Amino acid sequence: MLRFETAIAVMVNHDGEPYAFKLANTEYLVCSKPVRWYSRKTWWKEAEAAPKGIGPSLIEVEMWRLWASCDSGQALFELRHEVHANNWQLVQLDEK
Amino acid sequence: MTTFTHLKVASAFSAHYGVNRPEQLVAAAAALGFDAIAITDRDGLYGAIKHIGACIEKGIHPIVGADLSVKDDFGVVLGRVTVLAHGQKQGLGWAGLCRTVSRAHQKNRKNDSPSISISDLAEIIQNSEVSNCTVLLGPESDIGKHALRDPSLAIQKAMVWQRLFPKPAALAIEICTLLTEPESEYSIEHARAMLELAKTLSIPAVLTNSVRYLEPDGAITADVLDAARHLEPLGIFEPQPNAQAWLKPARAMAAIALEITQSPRSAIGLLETTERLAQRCKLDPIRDCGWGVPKTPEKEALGITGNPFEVLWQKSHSALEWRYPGANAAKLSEIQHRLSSELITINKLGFATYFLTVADVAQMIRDMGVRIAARGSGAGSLVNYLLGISGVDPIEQGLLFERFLSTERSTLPDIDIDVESARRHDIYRNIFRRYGGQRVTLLSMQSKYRGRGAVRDSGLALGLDEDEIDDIAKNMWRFSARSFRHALDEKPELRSLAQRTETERTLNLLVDITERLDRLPRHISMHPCGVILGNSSLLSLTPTESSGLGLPMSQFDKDDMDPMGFLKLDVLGVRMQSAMAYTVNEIKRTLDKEIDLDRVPKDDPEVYKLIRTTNTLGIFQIESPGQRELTGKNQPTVFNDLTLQISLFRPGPMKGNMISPYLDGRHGFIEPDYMHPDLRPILEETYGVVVFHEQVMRIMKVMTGCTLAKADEMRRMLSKPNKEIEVAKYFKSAARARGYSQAVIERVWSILEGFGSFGFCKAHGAAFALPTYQSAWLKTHFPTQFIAGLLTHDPGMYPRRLLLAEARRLGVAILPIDVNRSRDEFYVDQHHGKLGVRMSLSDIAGISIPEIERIIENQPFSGLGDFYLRARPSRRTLMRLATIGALDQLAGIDPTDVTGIHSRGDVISKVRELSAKPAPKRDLNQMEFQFSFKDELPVGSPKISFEEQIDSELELTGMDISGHQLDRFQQMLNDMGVVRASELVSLRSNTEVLVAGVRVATQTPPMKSGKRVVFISLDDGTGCADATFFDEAQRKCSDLLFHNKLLLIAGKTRRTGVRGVSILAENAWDLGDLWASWGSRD
Repeated sequence: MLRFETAIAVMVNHDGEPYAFKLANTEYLVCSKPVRWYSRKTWWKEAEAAPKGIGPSLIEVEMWRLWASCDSGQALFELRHEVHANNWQLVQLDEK
Repeated sequence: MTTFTHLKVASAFSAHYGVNRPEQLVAAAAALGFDAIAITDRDGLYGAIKHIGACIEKGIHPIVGADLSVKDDFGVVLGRVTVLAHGQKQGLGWAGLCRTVSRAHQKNRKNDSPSISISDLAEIIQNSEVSNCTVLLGPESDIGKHALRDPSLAIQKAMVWQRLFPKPAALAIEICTLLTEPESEYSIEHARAMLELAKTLSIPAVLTNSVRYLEPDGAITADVLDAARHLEPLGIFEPQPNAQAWLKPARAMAAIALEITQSPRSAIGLLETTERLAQRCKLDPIRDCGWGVPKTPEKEALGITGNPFEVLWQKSHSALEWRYPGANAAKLSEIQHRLSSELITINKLGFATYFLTVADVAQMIRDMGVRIAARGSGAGSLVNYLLGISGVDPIEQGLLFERFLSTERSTLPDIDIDVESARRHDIYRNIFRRYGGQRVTLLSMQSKYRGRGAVRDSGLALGLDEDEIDDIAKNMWRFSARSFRHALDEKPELRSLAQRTETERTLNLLVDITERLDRLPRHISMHPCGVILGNSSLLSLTPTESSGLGLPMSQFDKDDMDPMGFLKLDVLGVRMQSAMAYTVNEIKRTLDKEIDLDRVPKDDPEVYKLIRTTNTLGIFQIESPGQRELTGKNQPTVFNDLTLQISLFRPGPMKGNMISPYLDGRHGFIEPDYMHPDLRPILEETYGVVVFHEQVMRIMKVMTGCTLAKADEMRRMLSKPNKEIEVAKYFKSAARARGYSQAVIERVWSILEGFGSFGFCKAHGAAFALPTYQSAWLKTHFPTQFIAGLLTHDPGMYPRRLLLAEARRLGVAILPIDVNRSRDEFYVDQHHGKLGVRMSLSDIAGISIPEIERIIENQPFSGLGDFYLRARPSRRTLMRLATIGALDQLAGIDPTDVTGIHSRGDVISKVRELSAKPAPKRDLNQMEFQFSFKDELPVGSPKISFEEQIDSELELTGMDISGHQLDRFQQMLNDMGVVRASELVSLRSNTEVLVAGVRVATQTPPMKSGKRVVFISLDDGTGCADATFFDEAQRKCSDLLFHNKLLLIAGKTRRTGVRGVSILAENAWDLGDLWASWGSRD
């Protein structure tokens, strides 16, 4: 299992579910029903301010767990999506 | 169409857990289209009444439950469950919930956290054919904890519950997911496992979102609250998983149901079961909770038979002779007339039992020999006067019953009783004894986050250094946490913090999260004076928990009393009442004079003369710097002047700018303007200024012809902007019809309109003026005994050491602490044939109660060794006693005699020698022998200077007993030309002066302009100098504005009246700093 944080470009359908992304010049296609969950951030270590009404972006992050395939095979991926800034990061890769 | 109801919602009344107030949650629920919403606070029903009230207002159904810890029969905690009361059951569900919560709070040990045993819970909620409540077993229960990893164990646990809760609707499984990481707690899989278990055991399953905040943004606040609950910084403990526990709309909950079940049919099934339970739990506020139905003790509990009204009629009539002995026929008929009309109103409202109850309590208190006085509008009632509830004659003082009670209103009136603070707890215990524990509980209150508390807990959450937080908290002065950011821009003392927030991220965060905590409930505590008196079903209507006093207190607060129809009695402990009772006893003991304070004449010229000097320290209500200044201007000569002065010195009249026209009229600077001859009798006492609520009512009555009851209703409407127009219309047309000219009507109306909420209830002022006069009377005639009373019961707003300065000024001797004479009170003692006040042992830092008791029990002692042996003080206490001179007399030394062989230094050496050995064993005669011949003192130890003596007194007792702490600076102050406080009154206005002294008060009262003004009072031993700091001066000395103790202030005198002088401050310095540089001058 590999853990890293790399910004990537992700394509999503109209429900917000990822269906394809590009990593190191390789195109991956999602080949399972992606599982969405929510993780949290340690805002007290990072945030500059936390005024009332700033919204959940300070504390919460959307996560996707999915299988994706490319020419060389399949792997389990975990993607981290900052909804507010629309940033995608690859955080985990479990190659079978 | 599928609907949804949130059955698990924690409000901010789940202290250190929930984020939003019930009113906010209910309003949001109504806006989201929900037709019902639950409140299920942790450990209690603290927010339940506010929730029900908000639901009634928004037209949705209230549901109430509690989130409780459950333990097995061996006391091992199983987990947390939610207990929901069933509705539409004539209160059985509500009673079950109340009693469940109360039981959870019955503790075996003091620090046990609330928890109920599973079998107690089963017994309480299943005491009829069906269950009265439903227990929700969710992710935090013993079942939920095992469901994911060990389903068969979870099933075993669930079967235990099923066996103990066999009745229909007693159990439900709570399905909840916060969409956390797959396979973790609160994940979809967790919810699925719970649903599976429910199916297996045929227990109904309901969906919740375990709400903690209204919107996801609230999760940040919840993080901070979690830190406060754990008492650990964020990052140390396991935090909440994400920000999903918010009040999600129905469609989002339906989507969750679908995601869990993966089948539309099962999803609908889950939502339907949830709705069925919600339906069962909808409360009928009146039938289930007794909403708004007045509850008073039963006749038997009051010891009366027959019709309560007839009893009340009898009692008040038979007291006429007691209160009005020898009244002539005309007077008596006026009294009779007033009494009849009061009684008719009371009867119409059905409040006879209420009055009898209060009278019964008042009688009980008097029978205990405790001083009692009524306060507030209740003093306007003749019935209260006759029943002995109040001590002010409403007819003589011109007070109105209608201000207190009228047929236009039907809420229970408030009668507040002041008693001796030292006897308050005895009174509470007697009330419980008299009416029975099933009818009485104490009232509670929720303390809320304010500036300092909020910044402390926020600092803790962020892991800031404790000293740094202390420094910040120290400068949080009179503003709410919510306006922290705003205050940073405005307040000079926060300037350096403001600059740091620009570069230091954590400090900037601190400001934001401090604001988030503002006004959230922190913890429950005993209300300082409220007692709830009900009928025998009281404990089925309110949950109770233990108060610090050991007596139970309701989980509801004072705002919940009226909605619930509870009779609340305010029995307020007033330290001044204790001080006066103590003074009267000391007069009896030392002078053998009996004083009945309630019967001393109220026109003693000596008393008013003393008050007019403005040396009012220790006199009830008029000792504050502002009141002292007003005393200088007002120069009272009769009792009513005191009532007036107390009423004028209130935020309302001050904001309404009523004081100066009143004073101008009083001193003849202006001709009072009564607007119309008809109003002259009403406004004469206040020189044309409308001060009292009673005056507004009388003006309304005279000019419109309405009743006083109606007039009071209109007075109340005046402070509500939307109702004011209605009053204007009525007033103008009715006054026109009675022939008043347009000009007069417009003038009077403009006064009434501006009056709004500014005025004051005269009954309240008169009730306060009574102890004001009584304390002034004692100060005038028995200053020594009075100072002893004040010191013992410590009333008032100033540090105790100021009372010593005042005693010295009055020529009252201060007798030092002496282990052979001092007790645990300040009492009047003889010294060289003269009376003085003996200082008490209780103010010595670190002395324990057993130590004090041993000293008092074993007095007198024959010598140091004898004292050490029999009083057995700790080494530290012994050293402290020696240091402050409490052993001087015992050792036979006289500190004022500089030529003596021995000094206090020798006593200290001796004590050090004594205590260096192991403490003596108790009963050995041998020890006594050992010590008896070793009692002689060494010689030649270093002498203690007067300054050192004062310093150690201040350090160890907080008081400068032997002299004034300013004395040491005298040379410097003389060199600088510093003026003494007593000399200020002889100076012309606008004189440049320097004053110095010990800070005794700092105030920032509300100002009409909204700008902050800081008042600082200094004591220099001759009296108090009061200085006012405006913007410019505040900027110049921002660093020492709120903490330095010894100050030198420069400014100009400002004459405010015959004997009123204050200082318009220009700058201030720390006296210690000046002293250091003065000492090192060439």
